[in-house]
Amino acid sequence: MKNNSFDNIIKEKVAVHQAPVPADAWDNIKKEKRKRPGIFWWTFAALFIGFSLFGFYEMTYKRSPALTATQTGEVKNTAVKNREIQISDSSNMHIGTQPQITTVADSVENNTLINEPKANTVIIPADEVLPDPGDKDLTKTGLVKPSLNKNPGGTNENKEKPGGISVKEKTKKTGKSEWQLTGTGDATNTTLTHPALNKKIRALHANGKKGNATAEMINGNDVVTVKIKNKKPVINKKDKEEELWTVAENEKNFSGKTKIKFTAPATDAAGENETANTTAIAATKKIKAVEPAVNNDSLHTKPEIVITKQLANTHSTAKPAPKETKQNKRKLFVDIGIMPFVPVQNNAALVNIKRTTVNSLSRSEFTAGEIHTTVNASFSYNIALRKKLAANWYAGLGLQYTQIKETIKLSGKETNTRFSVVKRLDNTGSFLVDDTVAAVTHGKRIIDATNSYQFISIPVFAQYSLWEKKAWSLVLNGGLIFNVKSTYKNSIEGPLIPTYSSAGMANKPEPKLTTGLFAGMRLARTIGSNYQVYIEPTFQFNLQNFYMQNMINYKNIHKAGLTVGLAYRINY
Amino acid sequence: MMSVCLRYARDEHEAQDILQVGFVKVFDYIHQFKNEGSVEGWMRRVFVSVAIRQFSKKKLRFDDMGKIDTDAVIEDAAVLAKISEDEIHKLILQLPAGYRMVFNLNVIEGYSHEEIAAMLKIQPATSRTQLLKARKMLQGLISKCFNLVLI
Repeated sequence: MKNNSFDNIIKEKVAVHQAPVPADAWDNIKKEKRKRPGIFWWTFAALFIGFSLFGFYEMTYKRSPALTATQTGEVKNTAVKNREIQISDSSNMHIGTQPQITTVADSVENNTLINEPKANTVIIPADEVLPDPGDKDLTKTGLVKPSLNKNPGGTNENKEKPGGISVKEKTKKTGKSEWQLTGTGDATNTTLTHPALNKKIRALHANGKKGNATAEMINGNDVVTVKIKNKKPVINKKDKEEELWTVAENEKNFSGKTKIKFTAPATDAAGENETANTTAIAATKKIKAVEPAVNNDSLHTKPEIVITKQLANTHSTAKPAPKETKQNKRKLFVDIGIMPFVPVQNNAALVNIKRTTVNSLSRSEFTAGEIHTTVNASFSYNIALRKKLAANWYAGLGLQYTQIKETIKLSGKETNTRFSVVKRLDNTGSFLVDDTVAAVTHGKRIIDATNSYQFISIPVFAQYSLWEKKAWSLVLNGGLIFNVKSTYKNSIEGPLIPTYSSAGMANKPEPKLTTGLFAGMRLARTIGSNYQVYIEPTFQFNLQNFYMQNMINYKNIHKAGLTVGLAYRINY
Repeated sequence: MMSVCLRYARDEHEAQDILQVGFVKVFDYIHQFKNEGSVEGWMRRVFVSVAIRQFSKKKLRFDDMGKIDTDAVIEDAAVLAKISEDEIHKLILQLPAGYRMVFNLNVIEGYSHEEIAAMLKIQPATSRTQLLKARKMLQGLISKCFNLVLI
């Protein structure tokens, strides 16, 4: 008996064989189904939502205010306007030797300019008052250092065919059939798919028989014929050297569709010239069928097709094949990501910060010698469009929103002067006249505040695929980032005037645009045919300091973070 | 589908595992079925794929099982026709794992040797040899079975 007959009989027998299914099989399947799905997705979704909510919370809510401690401090009643105070009638009013005493507590409560409604203010008792760093006498004695600024915080498918493709079935004299696709368009950049062609290729695969499927495309005056044979390609060194054209993909997906995508070679200008010179002689080139990146879960049969490309009717005016293919053009991705990051700051060196507030009855001068500013861990939200340009190259453009909270602690001496109008007798002792008494208090003030930075940035990037295996890929990502809008929200009231150790810093102009560099390594996993999830350790390095209105301390902020995102392939 | 799983599995327990995973895959990817061809054929490919992956984890060995008696070739198709489907199934299960895998993929599922080689990560020549030996071994087993039936 011949092998074929034996095989056919066995196949028929096996085809009708039915095995009993265990009674608990369905229950087990249901259990398995319940266990398996979504572990990955749930983890990803939980991470994404968790980061988003935490980021939103961080951005929306401020820290709860700390307790505000106020105590009576040392009071110096020093000023009497121009005249010596005399007591005329102590029973009527307290003037002169019993001056109007203004305590620090009063000062804080009554003087609205001193209050810090958005920041936490602590007044330390006067016995803990730090000497004024600007006091030359004290400085000379060595009790006070001239500068107290420590600043420690300073750190497809058929529809896609161009021009339309018709399918004809030709029957040769030998009895073999050929499927011929005829259409117009750029054959070198065309995805040829057609159910009839697919069917034929599948049949060739399944039966292990030899046969041809032919696709013929007309590109201007050029006729490009593509034959597909059911043979195992023999790719040797010679073939590779002669290879002028490459086939980007030949994939047979789950549903059994076969796509043959022809990609113009990247370095085939010489080949084209050669072809152009061989007028009227069909140049036949073997094209390697490249196995596509396939989903693990798909049932792929390995493409074992030798694709022969025949170029006929060539012209001396043949142009070099374009480097970019239709297939690549179609690969457009939308990336949506969230990046929790740790900011790294680089401060401009401060000497002190002064604030002077004046109204009709009081004057307050605050000089902060100890300045602590730290930027907190925060989030960036990204959306980007990414396009495949070449085999391993992508380029993209995006939009990024970042908000960074800054914790500020200013500590220094505050001098409050309160002016009170009092009545006193004039020199004659006959009349009461108005006079002004100034009560001066010194204290230590600590301002604890949370300010915020907001950035809207445009990243321009390139990606290079380093490694791809099945559904996984490792991509090097890098580019420029332009901070097109930067704002600073200062919650501390009053005009704060910083003094920098660098003389030119105080009146720094406000640049509208700052730039930075960023780089990351993206580990991505393809889910289904159109989705990709990724994580990407990223570092963003800003090239310039941020100079914004109301900034307490000019600084540069870099970001080290981990982007978690989802990419979606747009089919167009 | 249980029959498919049994043909690839070493025992019934393993077949049930393949059946479970296979059905889960079918449910997960049913949206990818585009109504081209039969659902059964598509599901069959899913189950075969699962079975292959199951065995690739266990490092299936394609050893030479020694010389096979070439006299045991069945010359008459009628002999085969007398054997029931169940008997054939059981005889296939008696083949060594490597032989059985290649025999199933080539003869039953219709994959070429190159495809099998790519799927099992072996040489096409190995696949051919395994098939040849599997076929002869099966013929030998059938021959013995047939003799037993006659007695």
